Order: sequence, then structure tokens, then C-alpha cells
Amino acid sequence: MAYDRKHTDKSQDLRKITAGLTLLGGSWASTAWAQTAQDTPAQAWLAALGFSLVSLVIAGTLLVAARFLRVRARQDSPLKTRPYECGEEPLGETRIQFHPRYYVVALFFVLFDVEAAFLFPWAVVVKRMGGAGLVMVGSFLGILLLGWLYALRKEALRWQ
Amino acid sequence: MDLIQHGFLRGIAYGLLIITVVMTATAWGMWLERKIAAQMQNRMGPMFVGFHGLLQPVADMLKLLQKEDILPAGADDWLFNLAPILTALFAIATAAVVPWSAQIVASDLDVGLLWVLALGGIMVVPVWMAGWASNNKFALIGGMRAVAQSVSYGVPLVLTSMVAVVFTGTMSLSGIVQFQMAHGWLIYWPPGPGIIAFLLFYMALLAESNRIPFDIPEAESELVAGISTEYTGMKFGMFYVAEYVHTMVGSAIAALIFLGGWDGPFHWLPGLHWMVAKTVILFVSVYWVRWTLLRFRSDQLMRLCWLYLVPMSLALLVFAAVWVTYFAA
Repeated sequence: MAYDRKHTDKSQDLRKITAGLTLLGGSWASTAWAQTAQDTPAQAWLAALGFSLVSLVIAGTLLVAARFLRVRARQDSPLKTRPYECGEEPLGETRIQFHPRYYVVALFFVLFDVEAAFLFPWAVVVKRMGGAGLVMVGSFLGILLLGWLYALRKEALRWQ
Repeated sequence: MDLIQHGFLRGIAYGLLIITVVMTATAWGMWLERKIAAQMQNRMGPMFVGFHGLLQPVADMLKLLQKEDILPAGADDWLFNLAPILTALFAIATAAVVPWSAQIVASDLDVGLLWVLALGGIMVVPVWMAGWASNNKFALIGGMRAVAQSVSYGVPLVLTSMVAVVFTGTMSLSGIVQFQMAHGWLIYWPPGPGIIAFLLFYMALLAESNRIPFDIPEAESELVAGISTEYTGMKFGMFYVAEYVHTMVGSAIAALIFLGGWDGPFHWLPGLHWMVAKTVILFVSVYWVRWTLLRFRSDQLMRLCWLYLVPMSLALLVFAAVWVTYFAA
């Protein structure tokens, strides 16, 4: 096939192809609503709320649709609703007591998550706070590290 | 246009568009995973419904919709029914703040990253709800394991994304991408901590979305199906979809905060394509890992997290802070 460089610029062709693909990909929104980037926080929160509402509605709709479309047995049998334990008769209580190691994990989680909650505001302004902020957060993390080492020595981090 | 000014309406309009696209992409993501898994095991995968099984997701969906809805004896019906809805809600709502390109973003929150992490963290509530309400031992143990794993790996996930916040000085996802467009992607600049943070984030992401090697909560050889053991029909389908959406949005977040989001090495390709390409590559890599590796034991999981990932991500955080304070331009 003859390819005339004078009349067709290769990059322009590519641009046409990608423009077509973009249209297919649904980025028509980018031209229609190009202002999104300059949202006020209130607008952004409202938008996030609207988005969550749609996800809730979609999740609900699927369940409601299933309610209308589902098949139902003519006769109910108590065997059907019995908890599944690979065909064995369920034995004893289901809601049993748990190994305390789960409790230890929960404690650690609370500790480190609260730490993260304290660190996030600092993480945004690290540069502005400079050396002083570094010393403050460093000592905070140092204390946390001591706690972590203590837990390590006590073998609390091990899952026996 | 009035729609732009009114955040709520725009959220709804974008929600309808983005959720439809994400859910459709997820459905065929499942097909893609089955095909990849089949190729890895020298099988064909789905072949009968449509060309090379392309209509399989539709068939699966129709089948799930028609299944009988069984409430196990002794189950807590309120919690049992609420859990799948909440799981799907939290998984999908995460996508609200994901900027798919410079313009395509439903809600450009100034604390977008926090929104994502908060919704990811709150996911343990419906998971435990399902585990508790099912009145099934497999579900209960699976729920317990899932909660323990998810809260543990939440810590390195939060800390490594905080590394990105420290480097860029903003929690807005598009702000993070704009910083990377100006200063280079975080995965290679500054050299070293970025790629380590990315790898840690990726591992924590695998654990958060219950993927092999971190899928002990639903280890099918010992727990049948974990929390979803007693769920039938569409309720099971919601857990399934939520898991895939979670993985998909998680890949998008990883692409945004470490791989430059919609930025690409050349600019004749629009931002949306770069963003989608990065997300899909990460999404597929999750399945590559899934079908390659074996499952960790519970104790190995916990040791890996608390003995290695948490201190490493804390060290990275300190390094990032020192770099930003004294060395960054």
C-alpha cells in the first residue's frame, strides 16, 4: 500500500484512532463536565455521597431482582436450612469462644491505627513543619517502637 | 450546566456511569481470570457460552439471580441479609474518589486517600457480620481469620500510602498524580523507597482483598468457603463481585499513588487510557500471583505482617519525612 507522507501525518492518524477509542471508552464526560477539578470541598463531599447512594441502590436492586427471579422449592425441608458442615450433623454450639491471640491482634490494630490517625495530619505538612515536626513525630514513633520491641520480646507477635 | 455546580447530582450521574463501567469490567475481569488460570494450567477455561466463553459472565449472573435463597437455621436474618449489601456498598463506593483521568472523577475529595482507606477499613464490619450471622462454624472461623488478617494488613497499607502523602504533601488523589507529573512517579523518584513502598502496598493489597497467598480466611480445603459458605444465589454473588471490585479499585489506587495515575511517557494517548492500562495490568498481576503461589499459614501471615511489613513501612515513612524535610527541592 502506498503511503503518502505529504498528505497523511502518522501522528494525526494515531490521534484520530485514539480520539475514536476515547469516545468509545466513555470519556465524553471529560469534554462535557470538564470543570470537576475545581470543586469546593462541600461539592466534592456531596458528589461522594451521591456516588455512594448509587452504589447502595445498585446493590439493593440486585437483591430485589433476585427476590423476584428466584426459584422456590414446592416443599421445604428442615434438612435444607441445616448449617452446612460437609454432610455431618452439626455438633454443639456454633458461636464458640476464641483463642486470645485474636484479642492481641485487635489490641495491636487499635494501637497502630490510632497512630496512623495522628500521623496523617502531619504527613500533609511535613515540609512546612520541618525539623521540629520531625523530632516530635520521631519521638512519638520511638515510644511506639519501644512498645513494639516489648511485644516482640514477650512473643506477643507470634501466632502459636 | 447546572449539573456541574450541584455536587450531589454530579455524584449520581458519575456514579451511574462509573459503576456501570466498573461492574462490567469486573464481570469480564472474572472471565479473563478464568481464562488466564486455565492457560496456566494447560486447560481451555470457559468455552461454551459465546465465542471462547465471552458470554459466561452473563450466564453466571442469570444463574445466580434465579438461585433459591436459603436462610440457614439459627441464623441472624437481619445481619445475614445486611452483610452482602454493605460489602458491595463499601467496595463500590471506594471508586467515588478515583480520578480515571484529569477530568473524569466523580468526587475530587481533598482527603480522597483517606476516603479509600476508611472504606477499606470498615469492610471488616460486614465480613464479620456475615461470619457471625451464618450460624456456621466454617463461616465463623473464616470471619475471625478475615478480620484478623484485614486489620493486621490494614496497618502496612495505611503506612505505605502515608509514604506517598509525605512525598507529595496532599491527600487528594488527583493532587498526588499532579505532583508525580511534575516530579516523576513515586515508584522511581526518589529512587529506592518508592518501589519498596509500592511492593509493600501491593502485598498489603493482596491481603486486604483476600487473594492468594493471603487467602487463609476462605481456604477452601479447610473452611469450604469461609464467610460465604451459607450464602446462596445473588447474596453470594454480591460477595464475589465485591471482592473483584475491591481488587480492581485497589489496583487503581496503587496505579494512582505510585505509578503516576493518568500520566504516561508520551501524551498523544489520553490520560484515561494510561490509567485503565495501569489498572488492568495490576489487576491481572494479582491473578498471576494468585495462580502461581501457594497459601500462607495463619501464623506465617501474622509474622510477615507484624515482624516485617509494619516496621519496614514505618522505616520508609521516617525516611520519606527526612527526605522531604532536608533533601527534596
